[in-house]
Amino acid sequence: MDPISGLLYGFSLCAIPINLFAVILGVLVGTLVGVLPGIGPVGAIALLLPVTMKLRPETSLIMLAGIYYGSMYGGSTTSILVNVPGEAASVPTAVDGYQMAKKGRAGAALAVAAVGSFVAGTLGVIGLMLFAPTLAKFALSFGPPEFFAIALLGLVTLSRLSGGPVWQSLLVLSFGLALATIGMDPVSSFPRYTLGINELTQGIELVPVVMGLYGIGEVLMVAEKAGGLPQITKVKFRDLFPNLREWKRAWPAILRGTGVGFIWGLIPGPSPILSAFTSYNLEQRISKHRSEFGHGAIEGVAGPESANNAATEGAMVPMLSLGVPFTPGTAMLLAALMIQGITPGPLLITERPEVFWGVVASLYIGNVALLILNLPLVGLWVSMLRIPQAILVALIIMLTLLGAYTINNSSLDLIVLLVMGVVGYLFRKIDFDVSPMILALVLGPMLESTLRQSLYLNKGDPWIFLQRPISAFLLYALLAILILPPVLKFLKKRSAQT
Amino acid sequence: MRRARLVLAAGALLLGIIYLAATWKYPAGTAKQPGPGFYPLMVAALLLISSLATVWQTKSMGPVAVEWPRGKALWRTAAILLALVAYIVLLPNFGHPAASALTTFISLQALGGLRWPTKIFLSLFLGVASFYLFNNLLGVPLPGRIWFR
Repeated sequence: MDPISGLLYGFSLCAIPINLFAVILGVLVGTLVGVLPGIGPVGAIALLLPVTMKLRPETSLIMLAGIYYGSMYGGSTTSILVNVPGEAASVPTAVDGYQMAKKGRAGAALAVAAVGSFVAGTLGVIGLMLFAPTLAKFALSFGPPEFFAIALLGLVTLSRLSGGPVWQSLLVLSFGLALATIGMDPVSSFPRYTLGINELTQGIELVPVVMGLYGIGEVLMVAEKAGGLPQITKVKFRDLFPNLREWKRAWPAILRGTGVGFIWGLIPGPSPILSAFTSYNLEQRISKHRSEFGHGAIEGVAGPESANNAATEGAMVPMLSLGVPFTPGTAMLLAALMIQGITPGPLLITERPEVFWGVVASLYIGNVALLILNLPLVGLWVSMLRIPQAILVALIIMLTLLGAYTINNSSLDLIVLLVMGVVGYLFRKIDFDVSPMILALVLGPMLESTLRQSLYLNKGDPWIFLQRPISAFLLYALLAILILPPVLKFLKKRSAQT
Repeated sequence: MRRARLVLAAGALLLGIIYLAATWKYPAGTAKQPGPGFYPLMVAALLLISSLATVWQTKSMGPVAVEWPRGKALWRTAAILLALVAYIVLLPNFGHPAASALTTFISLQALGGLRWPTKIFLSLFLGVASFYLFNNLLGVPLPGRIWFR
């Protein structure tokens, strides 16, 4: 199917009322998740996963994808108006956005953020539409060694990018890999680490782990700090128009942010967050108004907001074309497909065109809906912050418990949720990033089966990974990623000494 | 922070040893025909190496304080954990509406800021409404026990 026919097919699917409802509901929940600090898009997707099991695969993915990219829009609103980033990817927006609000330009900042998000989102979908089928066709020639190399590259790169010492990230990653080995061996069905508990033969469910690490972990942090309500800046509709000078400065930043974000999305790592910070740094370096950064530079809002939205679309390229998630958010979307019995991978686009094109078309509709939702209804979203924290926490706890329990109607999942909640809380306290654990849990089974298949196919010769050009290239790239930074650091240190 | 990280890394090391001991029981096979214990051995090695390296890396870190909850903050955090445990224990025997009402009440009480009648009303409402929404409208079965058959 060529892109135009595919897109038209996708739009025809989105015209079905249930799918249209899924788009709107997804972006509404996404915006809410972005506005409210706490649960985050990964936790919200996990919460709604049990509900979507009854829906058709495309409807389910359309709704969950809406939460994923919708949260990026919502995050900017509270960053600008109350200096509370609902999402980590909105932290750079808060720096200059809040300063603009303090100077009475909150409306302009909100409008630029929303338009930038819309432009980046729309251009990002075009990129997704063009890149994903090409990459999927190319990936059809991939065998187990290539998929092993991709999964390994994704996991290790994320550990390097998520910040903090390398070994610390690898420790979190190995926790996830170890968790993923619980249950039946994927090749021989041999039960492993089940402790004689029957339910564990099915393995550890992803949903309670994610909800525990993100949802309960965050709830415990909020409970600890429980404070008053933030001071909210009021914005009238007539204020939502940036002046000509502001537009002139914002447009190039929007386009640069889109490019930066989309490229980050294709690379393994928490791309929305990294792209937002990269874009902010880029804007600061090349701006003619460098002194304004940190005091209300509009480029500091336009760039990062466009970047984090483009990154969410870019991150869907490897997820939909290779079946490999590079971010925790896309890992959850992939989990939603797997729950529906769909095997993600390069054949997804040809074998399940309704899923791929349905999602692509929904992204166009969702971006328009988000623009409408985020500008005229800005006051409504901000008023959500007036809901007492105790009620929000109680609601999140209830949804988290229900989400974990209803996956299998099992108390074991609730225990996993509780344990992971405590782990998530402790990791936050000592500044350990939990996202490598999620990716390891998703990619672990793939890593194991492709490793064993590769060795089996080549009669136990591990050189197969370096004999095939693509896997060899990816593994050399991985080696470079691991070796280059310490070598460069060493050289820099030595040159400084001499 | 340094001590907390050291404790965590030491815990991970212990977990790695237990994991390795459990892995030893599974047939690893050969490189030609890898068995169910083949890949977990690699994971165990990574877990042990990374935990040892984290211990070593943490030792060279400067001291950074972790703010552990104290006083009221500790009480709030413990109460939320208690609320979660209460739900897990009560759900099979008392059903979702009762378990969730109690869990909600404990968390509302812990975080404060609301009056007693509001807390009681919200707890009961959330218990019944979430049961009705999931069990009746979304068709996701929940244990109702004596309250809702």
